[in-house]
Amino acid sequence: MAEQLTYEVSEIEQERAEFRRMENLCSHLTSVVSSLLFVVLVVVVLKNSPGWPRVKESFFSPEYFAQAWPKVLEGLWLNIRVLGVALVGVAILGTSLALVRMTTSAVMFPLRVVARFYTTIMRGIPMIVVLYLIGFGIPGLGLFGRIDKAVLGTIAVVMSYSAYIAEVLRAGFQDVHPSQRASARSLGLTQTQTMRLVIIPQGLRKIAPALMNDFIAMQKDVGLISTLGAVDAVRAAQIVVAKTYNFTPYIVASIVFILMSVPFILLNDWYSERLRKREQTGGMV
Amino acid sequence: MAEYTLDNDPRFGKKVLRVENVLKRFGDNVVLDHVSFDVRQHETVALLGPSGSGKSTMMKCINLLEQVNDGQIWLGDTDITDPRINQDKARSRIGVVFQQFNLFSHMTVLNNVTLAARKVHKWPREKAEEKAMGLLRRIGMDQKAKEYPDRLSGGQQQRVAICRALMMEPELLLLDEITSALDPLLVGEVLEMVGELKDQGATILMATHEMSFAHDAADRIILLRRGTIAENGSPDEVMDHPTDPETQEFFAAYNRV
Ligand SMILES: Nc1ncnc2c1ncn2[C@@H]1O[C@H](COP(=O)(O)OP(=O)(O)O)[C@@H](O)[C@H]1O
Ligand SMILES: [Mg+2]
Repeated sequence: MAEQLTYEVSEIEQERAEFRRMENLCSHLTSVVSSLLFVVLVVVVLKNSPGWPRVKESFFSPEYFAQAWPKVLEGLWLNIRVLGVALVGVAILGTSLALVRMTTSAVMFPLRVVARFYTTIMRGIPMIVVLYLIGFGIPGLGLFGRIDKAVLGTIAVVMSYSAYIAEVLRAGFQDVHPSQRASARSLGLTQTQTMRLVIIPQGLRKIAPALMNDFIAMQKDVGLISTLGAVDAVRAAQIVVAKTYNFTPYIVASIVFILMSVPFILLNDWYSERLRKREQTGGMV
Repeated sequence: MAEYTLDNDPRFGKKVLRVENVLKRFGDNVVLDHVSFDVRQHETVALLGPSGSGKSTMMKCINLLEQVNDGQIWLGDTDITDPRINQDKARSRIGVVFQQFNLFSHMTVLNNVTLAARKVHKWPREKAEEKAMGLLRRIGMDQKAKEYPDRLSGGQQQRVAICRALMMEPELLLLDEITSALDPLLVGEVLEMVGELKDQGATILMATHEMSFAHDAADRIILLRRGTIAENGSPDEVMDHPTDPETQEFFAAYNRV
């Protein structure tokens, strides 16, 4: 802990500080001016483009905005619920896949192959295709009666994202220094305890930013369940568009999705920055 | 009465560790070639040898982090190389400290020290913390109990790691080059702590490159060379009056630096 020091500031340092202040001010001014110029440029180009009045009417119409807003919000509630369930599902399936892939025992060999196959295949298939396969394939089997579209959509999201998350988790867990595992085992902790008490918490810390990024991506991909016909925010917007032939509802949908993700994006930035600082100052002496 | 040798020195008790004909190889690379030695109660044994001579591998075999390819290792009356025994239990009878990254960085000093007591031996938290605080107080680290390891100096980290290894009163303490990653200024405090443990009767097997410390603190020096034991005797015999030319050369190289 640094002690509070009081000391005389030399003239040289005062002069340097003054110079830095000025330099700082200049660069701030430059950035403000250039941002303003950029905005003006965009506005001028838009205003002068021949199609602007039409685009403005069909994408930024206040009436349609007001009309779509409550419906889209209602749809968003479905997205939020799907997201919540999918989050739990991805956490469980993703962690299981990662742990299976990290096992070394011979007994686990078949499972390991399955997990490897799964993560490889799943990461290669576009999300939308997974949605179609699950959303239309499972009901097609006729095994389970009628299944809600949102449930099928959730299953597809979980299946797709688990594969990504599993690989991120595996990288994080394997990044923990081998001495940590050795230390844990030396204390008499079992394999499982070592994983649960040492490797997982430490691995998670390092990959938290990557995980949060995936969560943010998942947040918007949840909107894809609309392709199955579940009435989520995107679908609600689509319905209004179909009735009115005006695209403003899509802008509404974009805004609600942005509003939903901004807090997590900021949280992620804050945490990554903190982690970076910690890693730069901490460590072995 | 039999003539005095290091092996019947009355200062030391029964054999805590017996390594018998241990063979360890990685693929075709034979790292330990039928190695045998004992460590007796209260004895401090320094395992010396050039880098790559198999010191860490020996330690890992004793701690069951590596599996021997032949031979036996006895801890007290237990053959710990017997696959039928509970390996976790055997491990928890031995305290280990490595070169670095011993402490769990996501746990406070206190949680590090009490982890095994709470999770392996199912002590109540209060009991574990009371004992841990006692240990930390002895090394003047009780003020740092609530700190995270990255707030400690490397020397402090290693001393806390030793505390953690001592928590369950292990029959044997394995120290694998615990000062090698430290700033030279911090080596002293760690070695001093090891010296105190020895004086309190701990049984220690340590790999080290600190030759003068090994000379002064160890009761027995074991010199590994190309996977076999080249020397096994008192510091006086092995370090001060070696007869083997290669041994002479090994210690001379250290004296030159
Ligand atoms: N996990 C491993 N796989 C393959 N070779 C290893 C492994 N661990 C150690 N070795 C080899 O064993 C030999 C002895 O290493 P080590 O026991 O670390 O020596 P020391 O601790 O005396 O420096 C070295 O040749 C090293 O390359
Ligand atoms: Mg080593």
